[in-house]
Amino acid sequence: MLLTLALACTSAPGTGDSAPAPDITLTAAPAFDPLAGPALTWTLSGEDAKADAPGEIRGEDGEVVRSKVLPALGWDGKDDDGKYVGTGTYTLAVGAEERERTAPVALVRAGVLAAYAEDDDGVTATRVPLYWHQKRHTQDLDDPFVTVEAIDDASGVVVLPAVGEGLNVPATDAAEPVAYPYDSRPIVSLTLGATSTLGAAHLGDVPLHLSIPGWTVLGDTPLADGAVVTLQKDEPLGTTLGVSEEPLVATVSATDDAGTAWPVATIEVPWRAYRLLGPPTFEQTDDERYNPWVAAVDPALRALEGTTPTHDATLDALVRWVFEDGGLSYDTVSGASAYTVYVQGDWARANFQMTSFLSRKFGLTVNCTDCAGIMVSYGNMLGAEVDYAIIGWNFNLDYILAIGGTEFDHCPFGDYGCGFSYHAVTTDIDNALIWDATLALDGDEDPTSLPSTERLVQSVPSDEYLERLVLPPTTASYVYQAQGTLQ
Amino acid sequence: MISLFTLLLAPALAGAPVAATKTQTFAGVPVSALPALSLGEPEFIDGTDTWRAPAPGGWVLHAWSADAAEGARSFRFTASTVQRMLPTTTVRGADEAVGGDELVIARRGNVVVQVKGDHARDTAAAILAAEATDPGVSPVVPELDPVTPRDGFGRRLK
Repeated sequence: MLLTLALACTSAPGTGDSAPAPDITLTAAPAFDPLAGPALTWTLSGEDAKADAPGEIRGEDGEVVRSKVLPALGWDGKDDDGKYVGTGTYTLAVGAEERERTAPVALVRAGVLAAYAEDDDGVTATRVPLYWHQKRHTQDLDDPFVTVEAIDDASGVVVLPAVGEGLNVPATDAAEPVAYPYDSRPIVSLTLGATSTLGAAHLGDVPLHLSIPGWTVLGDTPLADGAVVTLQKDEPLGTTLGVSEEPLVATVSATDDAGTAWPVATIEVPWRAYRLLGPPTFEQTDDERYNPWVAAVDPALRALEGTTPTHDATLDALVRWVFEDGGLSYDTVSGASAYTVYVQGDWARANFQMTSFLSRKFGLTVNCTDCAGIMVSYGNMLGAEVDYAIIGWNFNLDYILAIGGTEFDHCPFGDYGCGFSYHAVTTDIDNALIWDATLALDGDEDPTSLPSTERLVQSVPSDEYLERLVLPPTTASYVYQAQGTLQ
Repeated sequence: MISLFTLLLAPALAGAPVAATKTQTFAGVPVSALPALSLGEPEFIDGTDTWRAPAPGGWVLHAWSADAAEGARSFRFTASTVQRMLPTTTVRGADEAVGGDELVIARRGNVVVQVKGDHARDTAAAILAAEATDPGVSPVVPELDPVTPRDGFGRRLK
C-alpha cells in the first residue's frame, strides 16, 4: 500500500446548551509525506481563532506522539524523540478544551519503484531499443528503464538512481537511456511503491493524484501500492534531433472535501531520451547490432542537437561532425582502411569494425572506406537511410581538402603519388545525392586549380560530386552501392 | 595445444629459415604468438578468416585463404582497397608484396598480411616467418571470438 489517504475534516467538541461554541475552524492537509514533500501544515480560522496556537499529534489510540507542534513549522513527521513515525492515520489537535479542534491526517510514503518507457506501436509513439555493444545486448522494452533495487535501511529515503554515464554497457544501479523518434509522444508507466523503510503505506479515503507537467495520465489509475500510473507526453518529444534529459518531476497531491489540492510528495524520475529521426534503417535486421548503439547515438545526437529532423539535414550534420570534430585524419601515406574490411573480396560487402572504432583501437588515421562506414553506421542508427557507394577506378583528383588536413591538394599522397584507385562515399538509395566525410571539395567555379573554397560534401548531387572530384581527362563512375555490415 | 604449437613455432619466431614452399598451405599465426610479434589483441572479422590487431604505430590485417591461388586473389584485392596505387616492393619471405616502409601488403602462399605502422616491412617479414604449416587438426579455442567459434589461428571452425 503506497499512498495513504485521509479525509481533511475538522471537528469541534460538544458544547452543551450553555454557551455557543467558539468560532474556530481547523483546516489541515489530509495527507502528507514528510520524506518526499512538505511538512504537515494547517490553519486556524474564525472569529475566535488564535492562529499561532500550538497543537499536538496523537496516534490511532489517542496517545500523544508529538506533544507540541507549531503552525509556523508544521509537523515534520517525527515523534518527541526525533524519530520518524510510521505511516498511518494520526490526529492533529489544536487548542484546549472547548477551543480544541482536531483533524485526521494520513502520513504516507509516496514513491516510484520502477518506470517503463512504452509506445503504442507507432500510432503516437515508437520506442526504439538501444544496443549496448560491449554487452552485445539490446534493451528489452518490457524491462523498466529505472528501478529501485533495494531500500536502504540507513537513510530511510530512497530515490531513483540517475541515468548511468557509461555508454558501452549498462551501469549497475543506474537508469538506462531510452530512444524515440523525435516526433513520438513517449508513454511512461510508473509502478508506485513505498520508497522508505519507515513503515508501510496506508490507504485512506482521500483521493491522491499523480501528475507530471506536460503529461496526461491515461486511464483509471488509482494510486495504490504496486499500482501502475501511465502517462503520455502531451507534445512530441521534440522538434529537432538531440537529447532530452530533464528529469520527469511527478507531483502527488491530496484533495480535501473542499476540493483543495495539497502537495504530498515530489518524485523525480530520471530521464534521458534520444530524439532520433526515426527507427533504424539498416537493411539487415537479423542481429541485435542493427539497432542504435548507445555509444554511437549519444555523442552523435549531442553533436547534432537542434538539427532539423529531415533525412538530408541529418546526414549533412553528420558530415560536419565527423569531418570537423571527429579528430580523424586521412592516411596520406597510402589511403588504407583501419576499420573496414571488404568481406571475401567483395566491394559490396564492406564490414565496418565499429566496436574498435569507438575505442579508436587502430588509431585516428582513416581512409574513405572508414568514413563511409562511419556515415552508414551512424546515419542508419539515427534513422536516415544511407548506403555507401564505390567510385572507380584509378582517376586523378581536382583540389580536395582531406579530413584532418589544412590545405587543399590534388596529390593527397604527396611524393607517393596523385589520384585515387577508388573512392568510397555515402549516398541515398537512389544515388541522387552524396555525403562524404573523407574530404571537402573545392566549391568554387574552377575546382581544378587553386585557390580553393571549402565545400563540405553535404547533399551534393552525385553528378556534380564527380565533376568536382575527378580531374579530366581521367573519368570515374559509381560502380557499387550497398549498406554493408558492422560489428 | 596452444603451447605445443608455440613450441613448434619457436624456431620460426626466432627468425630461423622457414622450410615451407610457395605451394604449402599455412594455418596462420597462432594467436598465442601475437604478443611475441609485438601485436595487440586481434579482432576477428565476421564472416571471414581475417583478423586485425594493433601493431607499433598502426595495425596488422591478416587474411587466411584455403590455398595459394585464392591467396593470390586475396592479395590483389587487398592491394586494391588502399586508395593509393602502391608500388611493388620486397618483403623477406614473401612471394609478392606492394607498398613501402609505412604500409606494406605481402603474401606468402595462402596468407596475406597488410601492415601499417613503424617498420612495416620488418613486421610483415616477422609475421610471415611465424606462419605455421597446417597441423591438420586445429586447436579449438572458441573463446577467441564471441560470435564465431574459431581455432587457435583465428580461422572459423567449420
